[in-house]
Amino acid sequence: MEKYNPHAIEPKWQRFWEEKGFMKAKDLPGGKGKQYVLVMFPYPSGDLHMGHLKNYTMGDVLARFRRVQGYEVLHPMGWDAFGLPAENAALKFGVHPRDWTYENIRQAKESLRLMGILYDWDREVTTCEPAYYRFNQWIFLKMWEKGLAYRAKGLVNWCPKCQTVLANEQVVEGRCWRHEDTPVEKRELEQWYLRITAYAERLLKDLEGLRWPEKVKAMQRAWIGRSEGAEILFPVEGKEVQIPVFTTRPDTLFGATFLVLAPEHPLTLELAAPGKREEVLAYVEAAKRKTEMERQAEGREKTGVFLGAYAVNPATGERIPIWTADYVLYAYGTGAIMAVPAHDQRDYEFAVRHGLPVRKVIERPGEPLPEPLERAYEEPGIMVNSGPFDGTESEEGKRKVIAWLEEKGVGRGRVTYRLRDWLISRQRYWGTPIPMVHCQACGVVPVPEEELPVLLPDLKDVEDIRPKGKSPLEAHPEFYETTCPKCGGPARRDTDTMDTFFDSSWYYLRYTDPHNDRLPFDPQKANAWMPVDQYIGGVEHAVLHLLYSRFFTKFLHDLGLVAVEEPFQGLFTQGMVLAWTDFGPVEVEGNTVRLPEPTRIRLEIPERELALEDVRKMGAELRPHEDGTLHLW
Amino acid sequence: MSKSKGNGVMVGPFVREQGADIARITILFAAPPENEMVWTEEGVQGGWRFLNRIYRRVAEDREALLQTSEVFQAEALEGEDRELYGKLHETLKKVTEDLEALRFNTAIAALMEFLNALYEYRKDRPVTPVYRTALRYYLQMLFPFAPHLAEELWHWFWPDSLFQAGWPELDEKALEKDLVEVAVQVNGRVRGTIQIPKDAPLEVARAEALKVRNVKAHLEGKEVVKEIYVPGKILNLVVRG
Repeated sequence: MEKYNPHAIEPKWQRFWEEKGFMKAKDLPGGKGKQYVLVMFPYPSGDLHMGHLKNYTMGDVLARFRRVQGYEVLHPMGWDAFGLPAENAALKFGVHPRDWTYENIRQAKESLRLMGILYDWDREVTTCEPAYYRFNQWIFLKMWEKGLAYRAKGLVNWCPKCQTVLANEQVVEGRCWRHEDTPVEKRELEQWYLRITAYAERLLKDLEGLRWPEKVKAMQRAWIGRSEGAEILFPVEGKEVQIPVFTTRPDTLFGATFLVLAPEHPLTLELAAPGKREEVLAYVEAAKRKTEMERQAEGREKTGVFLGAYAVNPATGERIPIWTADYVLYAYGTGAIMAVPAHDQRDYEFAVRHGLPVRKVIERPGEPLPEPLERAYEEPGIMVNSGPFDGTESEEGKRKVIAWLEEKGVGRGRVTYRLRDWLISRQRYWGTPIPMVHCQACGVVPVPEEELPVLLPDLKDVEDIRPKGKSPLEAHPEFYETTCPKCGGPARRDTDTMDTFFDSSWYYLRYTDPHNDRLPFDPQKANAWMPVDQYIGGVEHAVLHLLYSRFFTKFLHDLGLVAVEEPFQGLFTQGMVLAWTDFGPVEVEGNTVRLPEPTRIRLEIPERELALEDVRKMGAELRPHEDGTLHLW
Repeated sequence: MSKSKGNGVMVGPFVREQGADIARITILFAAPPENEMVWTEEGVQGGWRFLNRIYRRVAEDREALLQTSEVFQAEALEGEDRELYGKLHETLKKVTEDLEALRFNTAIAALMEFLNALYEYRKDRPVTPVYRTALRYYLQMLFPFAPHLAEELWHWFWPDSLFQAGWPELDEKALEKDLVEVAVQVNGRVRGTIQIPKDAPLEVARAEALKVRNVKAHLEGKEVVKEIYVPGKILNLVVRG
């Protein structure tokens, strides 16, 4: 009897399936229905090992199953080919990123074929090809037209190792997500942003209908961070100035015994009394050198400086001191807070340290709070010491106080989000050039659509692409010298390139019409296949790729290019393994892990670090696994 | 290299040495899909043994299968034939549901279990029409997981690709267990009968018995102190008060 010999069997059937085209998808599926099975496309990072193959194998199993069930199946593959990994590796080995990238793609394709993983290779998408990235530029121009792409000056995150700016999402515990040993610096730079915040409410609301792991939804909700509250105006004593303050607890307004401005707040230096100016200035300068994470760390000494100025609490009419302290962030809310030490622990710590009054305005139901308070009481309760609101339950009190503020014209109800606009310009070579021109006379002018793509110049010398703290393209007049599309005068091309997450935010739409040279994709073809029925990938993308893609789909929907408002109907994510490294003793109780704080944890995949605080912020948790590792859920 | 995340095992050399289907089964069977894969030498061995056993089963029966039809009446099956048919559809139901939910490891476990049933069957029975059907479905179910082996074995009997064979249709009736009549006694006297599966647990028998009016009447106001249950035969409730 013959023996089982895989080598005699496997190449034969692989050729057979390819020749018969069993995984070739029609542009417009009909029949029983369609199934779009998609695995997150990879960075072409070299030879594949079995650890890489899991997701692709899962995708292949599902695609074959759907196919034999009678569905028309779209199971495509492509390459997230721009970005730092290719560039860093290329620099390390002294080869051009393009050569390195294409060699890796060749090897990876070979591995996938060997495994019998079938794709519709006619639909292969490679993001570093002009045929693809010209539509990055096209989408960027549409966003510019709609006011969703804009240029702004501000304090941005700068990684001295990558020699580029980073998005907020790429800063982990104050460090670069790719360089755990490198604290991120703050630099004042003019950069390009996408106004993802304009979609905050829709991004939040539409999570409801998705067949996604609850954990990932929770992480996105936490990242968007909607909070309802009030903006209250505090008049400054002796000046014609009012300080707007955002609070989620308007019910505690009567307990606001001082105000705190972020050091970067423009009023901080303006309001500082003459004798206080130098002290305040020194504090502001010192704060600028600290990272956001350092400033927000729990248990840290709450430093601050009194400005020598006073405001008036609009509820009590009382005169209250104005301070500046670095635990208040300028980017959050209005950059100023009303401090209610009795009901906010950080305000409490600050008040105790600096001898400021603590006034209880919420009483604990059942068991009255101790006098004096030993710590802030942050739970809901019954309003006390609050004039006409005494006896009101605190949730109801929030609404009543807002109504009262609006009536008096000193405040209003307001919703804020934690989500920030997405900084997308990078001072690196291997990416999509930003299709804008800077003209002395006309300012910033978009490149006309018919002139796309703005080609990334082929820099032959690897040394030319090495990051030097500014865009490598700035050293190439043959690239940046151009004429203004508006006035025809001499002008300069923008020399920054796009964050690679821009590329991956719409690639799943391109698969539906990969050879279109007029549009990113034909709406009819996209509508025939979208949404992705099953998306498979790693949970590490919960707040990056998966949020950006939702934003792009909504934007393209608003342009009338695609009918769906959500790209991925079903999502399957793998838990991530964290190694037992870099931290001290761990207490394990059933399914929960207690780690000493502050703790840094190294994720094995990808190379990225996460602070325990971030894990909590994302609404995730760590669970021990029987193999002795920690899993992020 | 007894344990790793597969990070040291390069795809090319492994597949050229061992085979793609073995790699696929090792990956898919290693852990629940949402967990990180743990690649072990034992896993590779297990994958190889599983596929080799499938190959041997079909190869041994190849000639007999070629001479057997698939003409049979499901309702008329008896004994081991009936059992195999029931088990086949149980497996089909499980594998289908697991595939829908991406639970690939448990789907493969169900296929391993059914392979054992095929071996068991062939200890005392010849190649029969129901057996040939079971093997046909088996290859169809194997196809998403180990497509090369499934396609190879399929072509020994059928000319088209497994891609064109569709997915087997579930026979819901095959999942119904045979019902038997069980007498219900209260304090040793028969008060009624119930229809339940032969291997129904006590909980099922008790729940059915309580639906019988006459049994209920004799339990009224009394406390059941003991339950004697002989599956497939009798349920005796001992009451007090």
